[in-house]
Amino acid sequence: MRIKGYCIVLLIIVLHTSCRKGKAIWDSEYAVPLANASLGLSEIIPDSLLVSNPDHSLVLNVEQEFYRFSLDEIVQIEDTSIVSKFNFPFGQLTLQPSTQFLAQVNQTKFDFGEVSLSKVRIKSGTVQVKLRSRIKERTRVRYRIPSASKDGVPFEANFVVPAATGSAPSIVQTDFDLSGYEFDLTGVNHNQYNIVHSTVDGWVHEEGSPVVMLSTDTIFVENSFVALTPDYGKGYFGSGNYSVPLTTSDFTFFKNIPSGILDLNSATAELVIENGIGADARAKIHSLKGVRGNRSVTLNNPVLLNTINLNRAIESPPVDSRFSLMLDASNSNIVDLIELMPDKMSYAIDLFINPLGNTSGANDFIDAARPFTAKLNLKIPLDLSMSAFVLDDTVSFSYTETEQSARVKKGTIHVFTDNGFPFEAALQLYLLDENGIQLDSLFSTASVIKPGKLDDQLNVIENGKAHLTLEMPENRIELLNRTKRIRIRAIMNTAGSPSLVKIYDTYKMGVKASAEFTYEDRW
Amino acid sequence: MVRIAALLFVLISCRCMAEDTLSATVDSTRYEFSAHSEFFLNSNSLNTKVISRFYFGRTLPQELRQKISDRSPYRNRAAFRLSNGVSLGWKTSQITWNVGFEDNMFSDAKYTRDIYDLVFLGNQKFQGETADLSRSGFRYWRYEQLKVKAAFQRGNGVWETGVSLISAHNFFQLETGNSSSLFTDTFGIALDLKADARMRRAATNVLSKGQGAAIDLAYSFHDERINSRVRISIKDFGFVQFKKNALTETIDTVIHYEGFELERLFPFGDSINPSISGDSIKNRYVKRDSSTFTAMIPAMGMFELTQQQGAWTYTESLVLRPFTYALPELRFEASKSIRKIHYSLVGQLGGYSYAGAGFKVGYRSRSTALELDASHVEGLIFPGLTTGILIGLRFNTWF
Repeated sequence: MRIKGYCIVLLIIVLHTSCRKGKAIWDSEYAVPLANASLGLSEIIPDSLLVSNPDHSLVLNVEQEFYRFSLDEIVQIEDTSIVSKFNFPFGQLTLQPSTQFLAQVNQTKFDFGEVSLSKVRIKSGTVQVKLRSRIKERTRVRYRIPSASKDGVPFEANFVVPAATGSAPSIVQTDFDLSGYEFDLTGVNHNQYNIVHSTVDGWVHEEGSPVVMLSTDTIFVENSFVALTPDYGKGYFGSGNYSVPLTTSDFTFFKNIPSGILDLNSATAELVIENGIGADARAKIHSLKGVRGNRSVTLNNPVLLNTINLNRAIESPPVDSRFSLMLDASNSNIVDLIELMPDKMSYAIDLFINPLGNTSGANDFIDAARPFTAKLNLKIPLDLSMSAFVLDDTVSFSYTETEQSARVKKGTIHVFTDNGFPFEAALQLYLLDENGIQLDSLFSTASVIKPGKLDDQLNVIENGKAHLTLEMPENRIELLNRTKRIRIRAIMNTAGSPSLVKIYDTYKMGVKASAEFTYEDRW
Repeated sequence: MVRIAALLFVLISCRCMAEDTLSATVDSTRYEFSAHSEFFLNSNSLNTKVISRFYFGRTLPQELRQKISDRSPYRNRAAFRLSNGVSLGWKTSQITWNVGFEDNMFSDAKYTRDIYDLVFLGNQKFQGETADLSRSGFRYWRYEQLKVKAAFQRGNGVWETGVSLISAHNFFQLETGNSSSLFTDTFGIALDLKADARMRRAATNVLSKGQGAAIDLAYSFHDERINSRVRISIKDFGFVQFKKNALTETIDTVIHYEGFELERLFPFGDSINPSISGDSIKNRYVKRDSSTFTAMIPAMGMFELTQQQGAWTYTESLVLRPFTYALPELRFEASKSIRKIHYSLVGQLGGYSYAGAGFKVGYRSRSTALELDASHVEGLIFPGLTTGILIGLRFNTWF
């Protein structure tokens, strides 16, 4: 070893340089804070859903739409193609450069069934223009849709069509985006509906040569409207029934609660039907049912069986027509429905548009931003009891391995909770890969966040403290690279169950997380 | 066996040439050309084994790092120096002249044992405790000197003077104040950093980062009362002014850190992405100044007594190294010449270590002299215990 020492020193002298020969490596043991938080309920669930009462108790406001009637159910534009053919009528004639030989007006009719539209605004879609020429000289062609404009500028496309060679025609084809274009569908004379008016003009190219035009010299103009989706329409929508047979929609608020028992002191709901369409509507809800698995609760209220008339909405200034029905324990079984924690709503609805016919003089309108909807606005005072209440959510996770993070070899994550809420939560975290396959669970057994201690009035008087430990051996750190999602599962129980406890906006849960880890230092 | 052989070698060693004095051997008819190279490494706590592993980029085993920690005193020092130079000397009727060029690389540090532990073992062992980061520093120099020296006799004494122009290629210095510390709470839940520090470094975008000047001055005389030759000297007393775009960063604050503030529990903005950026912390607390600054280069002051007793010459020296982190140092040297061979035994107390020992050996003919200076060899003989190494080579020729 001492001989080696001599060699080292001699080498250093000989090398005569400050450059080190590489980075030394050693493992150090670090202990560092990761995160901390003081969380009220508004930091745990979106605070837009919470309202505080004067006594600081909290009310949960949940707006859940279950039915939407929108523009594409009235107006659907099928792909439409028009082919125009031009051939020279005079047998044989020599045309000089810049001579116009084509001036054509086309009117394309969209098939909207009973719906007669005078105006439509395109959200997305294209017009495809294809020109096929047998003329033996370059030509210039202008394609216009005078009735379609964007920011006040009519649609116009110009083409230079090469001269045909031999028997092969020359072909030019281009797609144009029509997003944002407004179409006037009243035709050339503004007295029709569902008509698109376009023009095609053609000239011998001004830099070309005189060309002999024969009757066999044709030019085809093909314009196709492809995948047009409107976001606004105006006209007469017809008098029609748009009934929805028994169907289900997601009730998203409870979707992350796969199981559990929820007991509420009270709850109310407002059934709201809003008509944002500029057409009279008549609606009738045949059935409204909350569904969870094979269990369901049908909402009982006599008004629900009645026909509901909704006037047309006003376009400007925008005013929607609205129907509202308050539901509480006195006039319905709404509390039972909420305690079911439905993840789906089942309903059947009859909707009749323009039951009295064309009373607007073809001034019905529909805007994608103002649909016809039916929803429930739930108000749930957080005076409740939870038992084996399972919260199960999955969040995306991206662990970008940097040079630094790759040097963390193993460690332990500590989570300290200081819980001021009157409920406990047994927590488990699962690492999932990109296909949702579980790679590992982070706690060997579910770790319990202890509840706050209650007094006789069931108010929290002392926070519950817990220390959760999460071991991260080397193989689990490697798994983080493959982890794309983390599933969080918490089984919650209120303290003092089955007594109901109130949740106040003053309740907080302190969380502190730190890590003890082995890190490979390089210097 | 190697250790015994080395010790025997030390014991039979004797003095070769005096260190760092203007050559008194130039006669009026000849020029003297001299070249020297010196490598110095020393510390009161690190050992050669760990430094060589560090230098060559190898793994530093836990037991080696822990052993150093266990043996370290509360405050520690370490230094590294590499210098190479050439000079040309000649003598006129009254004055001996010398013009030389020297390239120096120098680095030294003083640090608490806690800093060593934090760097090489981590902060986990400090849970519930405060690590002392105070009054510590690290400094790195790279500079070149063009020296002109003159020696002349006045009465009983000899004066030696010199002036050098300095061009600095690199400089970095980091020093902590009296209150710097780091408290690590249990399980690392919180860190309390009292940061009181200053960092200075030369600009990085120019080749010559700073210029300066230094002087050498020495006076020696024979004191009949104590039958000794007395020499008092100061070497490299000077400064370098660093150009614009040099950087000074200061921090004087207390930081309590409990990790990232989570504003929500779920859904973490719908994504968890554990990434860390230290820049925001740095930008928040560190003051920056990119104007010029001046730094004193490492200097050396020495008081020497030399006695002749029979065939042996004894020299005792007190060495002070201003503008470094070295403690005062006492040196002892016994030297003897046998025909053309010179031997010295060298001992030392203080400086960057507790104690050290070594030897010098040289050969001199009428036209050539060669010296090996191994004043510190303890780090080679006991690489697992200490780190003192000084190896120098000096070559002189007269023509």
